[in-house]
Amino acid sequence: MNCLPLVKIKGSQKYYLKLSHGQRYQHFILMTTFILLILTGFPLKFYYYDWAKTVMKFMGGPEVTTIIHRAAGLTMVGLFFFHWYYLFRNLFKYYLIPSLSKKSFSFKGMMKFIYYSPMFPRVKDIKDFIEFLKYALFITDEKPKHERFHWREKFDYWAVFWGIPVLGFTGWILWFETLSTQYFPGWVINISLIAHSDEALLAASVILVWHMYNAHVNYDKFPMSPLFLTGYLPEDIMKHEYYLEWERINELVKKFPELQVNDDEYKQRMMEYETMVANYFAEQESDEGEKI
Amino acid sequence: MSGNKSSLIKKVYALIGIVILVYSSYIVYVLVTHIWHFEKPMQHSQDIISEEEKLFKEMVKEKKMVEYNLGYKVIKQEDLENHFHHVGNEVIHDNFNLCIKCHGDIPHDKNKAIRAFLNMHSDFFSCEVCHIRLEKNKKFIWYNKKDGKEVKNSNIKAYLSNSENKLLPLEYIEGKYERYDSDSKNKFVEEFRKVISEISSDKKSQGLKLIHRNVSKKPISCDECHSNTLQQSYLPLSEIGYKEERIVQILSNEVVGMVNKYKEFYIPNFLKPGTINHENSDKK
Amino acid sequence: MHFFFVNMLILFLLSPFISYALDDENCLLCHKYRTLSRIDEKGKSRIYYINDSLFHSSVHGRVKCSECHSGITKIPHEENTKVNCLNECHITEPTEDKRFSHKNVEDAIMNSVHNNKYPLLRNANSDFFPKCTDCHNNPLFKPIQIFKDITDEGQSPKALARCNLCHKDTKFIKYFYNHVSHRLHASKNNKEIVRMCERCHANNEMLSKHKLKNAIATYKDTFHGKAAEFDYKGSPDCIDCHVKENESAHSIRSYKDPNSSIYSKDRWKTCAKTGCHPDAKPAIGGVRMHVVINKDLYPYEYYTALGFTALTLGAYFPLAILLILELIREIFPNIKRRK
Repeated sequence: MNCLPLVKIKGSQKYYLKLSHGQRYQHFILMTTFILLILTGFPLKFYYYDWAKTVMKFMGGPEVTTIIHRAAGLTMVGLFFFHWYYLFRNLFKYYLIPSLSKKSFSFKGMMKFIYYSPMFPRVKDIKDFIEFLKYALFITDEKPKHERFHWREKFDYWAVFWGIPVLGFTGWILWFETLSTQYFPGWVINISLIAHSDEALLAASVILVWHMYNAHVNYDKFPMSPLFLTGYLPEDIMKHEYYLEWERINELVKKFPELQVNDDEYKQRMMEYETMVANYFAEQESDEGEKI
Repeated sequence: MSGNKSSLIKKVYALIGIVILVYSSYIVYVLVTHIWHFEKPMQHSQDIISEEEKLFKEMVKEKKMVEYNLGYKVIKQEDLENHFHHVGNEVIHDNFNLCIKCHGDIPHDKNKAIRAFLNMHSDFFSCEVCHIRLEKNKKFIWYNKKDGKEVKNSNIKAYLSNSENKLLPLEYIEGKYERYDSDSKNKFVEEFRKVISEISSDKKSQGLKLIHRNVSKKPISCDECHSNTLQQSYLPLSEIGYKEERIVQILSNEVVGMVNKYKEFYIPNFLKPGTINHENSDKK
Repeated sequence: MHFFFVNMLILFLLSPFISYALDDENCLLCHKYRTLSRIDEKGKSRIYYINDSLFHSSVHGRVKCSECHSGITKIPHEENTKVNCLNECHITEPTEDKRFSHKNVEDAIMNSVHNNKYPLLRNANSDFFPKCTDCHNNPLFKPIQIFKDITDEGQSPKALARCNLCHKDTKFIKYFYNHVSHRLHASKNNKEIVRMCERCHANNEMLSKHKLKNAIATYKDTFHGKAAEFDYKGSPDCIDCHVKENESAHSIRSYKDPNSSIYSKDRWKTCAKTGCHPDAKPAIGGVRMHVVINKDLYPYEYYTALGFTALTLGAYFPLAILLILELIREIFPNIKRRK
């Protein structure tokens, strides 16, 4: 996975890899465009509140926000297409090419690969969800043991996955209103406006409450999980929330110790090395001084 | 111990979280359902409300301010429905006067010919000026309408419109002058207003009597101040700060100026309520 | 003291000629007082105040009081002296030497939806149709503001200097300047126009009388209204769509009227104005501007809104409930429900 160590040891704590570089960048782009779109879109939808005018002013007035909104929207749709490319690339890289070269390709195998890819909803998620309900309703004290991405994260992912096409398409209709009237009847533009703004509200409310809670405000993670910045999760969260993944990585690391990098040790060595170099130059300088 | 403590924090944290979640659900509900809202008031309007109720509703409505952007300046004023002329600046209200608390800013209503003029005077005169007749020891002060504090050294050269200050007579008690809206009177009126719905009706009458005990039966009439000479004027105009040029206008020529302009000019009870104004009828 | 009375006499004699040169009738003698007012029988406050400076920077600034208030001849004034805006006044129209009147506006109104003789009304019996003052108050001069430096009255000193060369009367120059440059553009901005129409078209009682829908709320929910709300340059107000470009703003007609700017077949021409949607084709007329969420009138919009409302609430509330359940569980981490 992009040559990142699976486990990092830093400050005598273990950190487990969860997001690759590319995934982190994708998340970052999604996050910034999402925030910009909300900041420029919501004042329009909720023009009748006082805060709308304040936000609008802050963002530079309607002349500026139209540009920001469209640019951010384009970027988000671009990201959506890139993500499709990314998914197919993974399919090629990790299934099609290896299986074709080994001549073990089968349609069923490909389906199985897709089914077991990390974000795909699976029977396990339904089981986890039922486990969670049992836990939340005081039927059991056991929390469900999750794999790499649990059902909450998959919900976020699929909500955005279906939201972007709806928002992108309706946004495009509203952007080029005269062009779209030539291909669609007039009411399509009316319902596009309703769909665009309502879908945006759905996305914003789910992300701002559900996703923010799960990733930031949750007691164990407050003020935020470092995941979206570093791509790594500390061991306590990993064990607490992704028990199966934690077990799996530990096993892997046991088998292949080179997957684990000890930052502390590395830093220690680096320090030693630096002082060594510094001493070496200092000695040389003083030698030169003596010579002069 | 520390384990207990952290679990307590966690519980408080969870409680706060629940409150926030419930609140944000409410917000989401409000925002989502906005799109349905504009049909509701339509149905309401079908209920018939009586003319009286409508008037009451109108009255309770808050003042609406509107802006007129002229490009080079912005004019902000009260939104007066069906009022053709612009009024511009807002009326400076008297927050301090005792009488206004019950009687309001525009109290005069009875005498059709002069009610608007009387109301106009209440801009710069407190009610006490005309409704309490001082016999001897006449003394007046100006007070600021906003904080009630006395304003000294007023030089009044031009007419007063939307004035910041108001004139108030002083009560002469045993060699000392006291304001008619002294703190003790103010307090009594405040308290009386609070309990008025609870006390017995005779007490109510007593209270009202007490509050109004200084009020003269016959108020100061127009011509007592708009008199022919300064000596005849009820108000000591120059002592209370009017400059010469303004005094000249106040003493009758303001009114005369009006007379000259109208061919058919009559003021039945204009300056002398109860008697015919001979001077004017002669001119006619 | 003698001196005082001599002074007084002189002032007395001069008083009509000093102070208010423009107010020949000396009405301001009384009407200059801000609080000259009373409460009428219906409980409404009647304000008799005239703001001198605002009046003189209004389009009627050169009209004498008595020319509009022609019913008033004496003091105290007669009761119920309503102003008739169709009065001919003493201002003459220079090209024809005719006395000016608003008669032409009446003709335009009689040709528009805003009079009870218009054939396409939903409820012609309703007694309420707008009078002049229901929409207009005294329009304040808005001279064109395209210059870098302007005076306190919004005029360009350079332009004034050009006038000054031939014309000598400063008052006349300023008035003429204001009049012409004010007339070259709309005297009300978007918000003022919406505010004007709102008085009736967002007034539920009036709407139910005339069997209309709230046109203001629906306008504000479109991008047109939102643009106006946030002062977007060139955003359209009611008049921009409901009046044909070469007609008076008073000629608003029903959408069923073939002469109307929003007649279904010609509507696209209004949309395709150069400043708006210049590349629009006839199909743009199919977009509905005043959409009410109503099953019978706008079914597509109704079901879309219904679907999304259900979807949003249906997605959000279960999630919020799950989170609340989880938080409750965190308060009691180790109590299993006993069987």
